[in-house]
This record gives sequence, C-alpha cells and structure tokens, in this order.
Amino acid sequence: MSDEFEKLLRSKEWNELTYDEKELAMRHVATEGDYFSLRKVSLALDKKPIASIEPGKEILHSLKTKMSGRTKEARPSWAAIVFRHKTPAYGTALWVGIALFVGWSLGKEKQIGSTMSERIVYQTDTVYQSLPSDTVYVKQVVYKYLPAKKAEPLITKVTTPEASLKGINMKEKEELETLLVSGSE
Amino acid sequence: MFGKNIAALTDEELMSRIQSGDEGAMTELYGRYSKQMVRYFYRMLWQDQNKAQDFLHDLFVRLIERPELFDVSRKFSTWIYSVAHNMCKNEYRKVSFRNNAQSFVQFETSVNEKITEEMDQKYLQQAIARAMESWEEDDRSLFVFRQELEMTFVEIGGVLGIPEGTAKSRWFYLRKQLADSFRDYKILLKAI
Repeated sequence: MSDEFEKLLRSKEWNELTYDEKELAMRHVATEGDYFSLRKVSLALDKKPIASIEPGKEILHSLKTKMSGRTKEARPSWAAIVFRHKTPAYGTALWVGIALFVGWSLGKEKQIGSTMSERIVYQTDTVYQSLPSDTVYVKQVVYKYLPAKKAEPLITKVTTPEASLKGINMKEKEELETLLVSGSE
Repeated sequence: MFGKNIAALTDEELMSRIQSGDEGAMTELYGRYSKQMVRYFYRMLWQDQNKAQDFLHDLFVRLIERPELFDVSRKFSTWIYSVAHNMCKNEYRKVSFRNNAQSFVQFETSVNEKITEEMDQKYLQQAIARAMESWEEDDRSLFVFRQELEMTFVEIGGVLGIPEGTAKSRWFYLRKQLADSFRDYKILLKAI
C-alpha cells in the first residue's frame, strides 16, 4: 500500500478526491464503500487509546529477589569484579600513567645515597672427578737430535787460460779474417 | 570512576551486565521495556490483565535465569519481542479453542443487539479483539506491534522474520479485514 494512498485515506472523503486520486484509490479498494470503511477504521485506529494497564509493582520486587539469589549462587571472581566496569581509553591511559609515575618515583628514591656494602667472599671450589680420566693416545712427533754437518766450502777452481806458445802463420791468419768477415755459417 | 551512567548504557550493554549479576542493570532494563511488554501481552492474551502480568514476570525471569540465551549479534529489542511473541504462540497452543469460543459467542450476541447503534471507541476495541481471534499469531503480533506499540515496519519485520514490504502489506490487509467486518455488521462509526 502506497504512502500516497495512506495520506488520502486520512485527509479526504471519497467525494473530495480528484479523478487521479480516485484512480489511485481504486488500485487499493474495490468500491467507494470499501474506501469509506477503510478510512473510518484507519482514523479510529489513529485515535487509539493506550491500553489501561501498567506493570505490577510487585513484579519488580520479585525480580530483584530472584536476581540477588542468582548473584549469591554465582559470586563473580575478583577478575570479573575488577574488569566488570568498562573504562574509556583515556581513563585507562591516565591510570597507567599514574602507576608508571609512582613506580618511577619509588625507584628514584632508592638510587640516591645508597650505601651498599660489599662483602668479598673467597671460595675455593673443589672439583671431584667422578670418572677416571680418559686415556688419549696422541701421535707424538719425536724430534731426533742430529748434529749439524760442517759446511764444506765450495771448491772453485779457477783456471786461468794460458797463452798458447804456438803462433799462427799468415795463411791461417787470412783464413781467420775471412771467416770473421763473412759471418758465422 | 570513569564508567558510564547506567541510564546511558545501551540495551545490549545492560544485558551484558545482567549476565554478570548486576541488579541495577536489570532494574534499568525493566523500566525501559515493562510497560510496552505488558500492553503487548494484554492485547495478545484476550485482554486478560492477570495473564498479562504473569507473562511479563515470566519474560523477565527468563531474562535473569538464562541471560546467555540472548544472542549478542541481534538487537535486544528485536530479541525480547521475539521471545514475547513465542510465549504467546505457545499459550495459544495450550489454551483450547473451545474456551475462547465461548467468550466469542457472547460478544457476537451483544454486537448483533446493537447493530444499528453508532460505534464508539469502546466497541471498536471490542471489534478488534474479536477480529484478532480469527487471525494467525503472526498477524495478531503484527497488529499489536503496529497499533499498540507503534513499532516501525522494519522493527516488526525483524521480530517476525519478514521483509519490511511484507509487513506493510500485511498491515494494510488486516485493516481491510477490520473494515470489511464492520461493513458486514452495518455498524456505523462515529464521524471523525
């Protein structure tokens, strides 16, 4: 049902409707009589009286008794009590800041003028070997003493070429010069 | 120190506190919903005041004893109306039609005797109660949610599990049925 028809129903009688409005009305009701009845019922319902009944006062009292009985049966743990009430973020941040400040101030007081004495304790620990030590065989390099050999000087034989007593004749000299000029073959 | 005022808490937050055993939260929630729920039960249960009070008490006892039944993913108002609606449906199944038909017949006789008289609000309310007898439980609840509690069609759809458009159509259909029944008995309504 359209909102337009609802408005017409509450505002106009059938004979007050325009042609278009009547066309709209005929989409929802069959006859003029239907329109009349529906209008009257709608207006009467709009003037509805609120039901003359109020909740009984004893009901709330009974419910509270039941609630307290249920609460006694199941007492909330300390965690439920602590965390029952939700706090906003800024409230939580403020409590954290306060806790940090208190902790810092308490720690700060301890550091000033602290005179801690130290006692030096010497303690000798005795270690008892419960198991026999393992025998480990290691390849040992044995160095044998060898006297160093005397270094013998290198014998160098220097030979001085001796001049030949035999000279060369003229013919051998010419052959030699020819050989030197022509180059080696 | 930094907690919210209990009156400023949402319905869902109050339910969460009730689960922890907070009596103040239960009192606040009762204050918010008790009037609407007792009027709903009054309309749905044949305008029986005693029955309406009993059902109101039972509804909140369920809430206290089994708070874990509340589905946190749903809106609380939708959930509590759904529970109330189901309680009424169960009651209809328990009470036999014969018991209700007797009161129906008596009313029928009185209407016929005054068939030519103009109807005032009192007779209209009685006529509505008579018409509701013939409706299904969902239609009865829809009518009461809309007429008595002035819920939106979106809220009604959430409780009954139907789309908003369907709730609107059903509401128009129920009013049309009322109008047809008035015309059939030729009861003249007082001119507005």
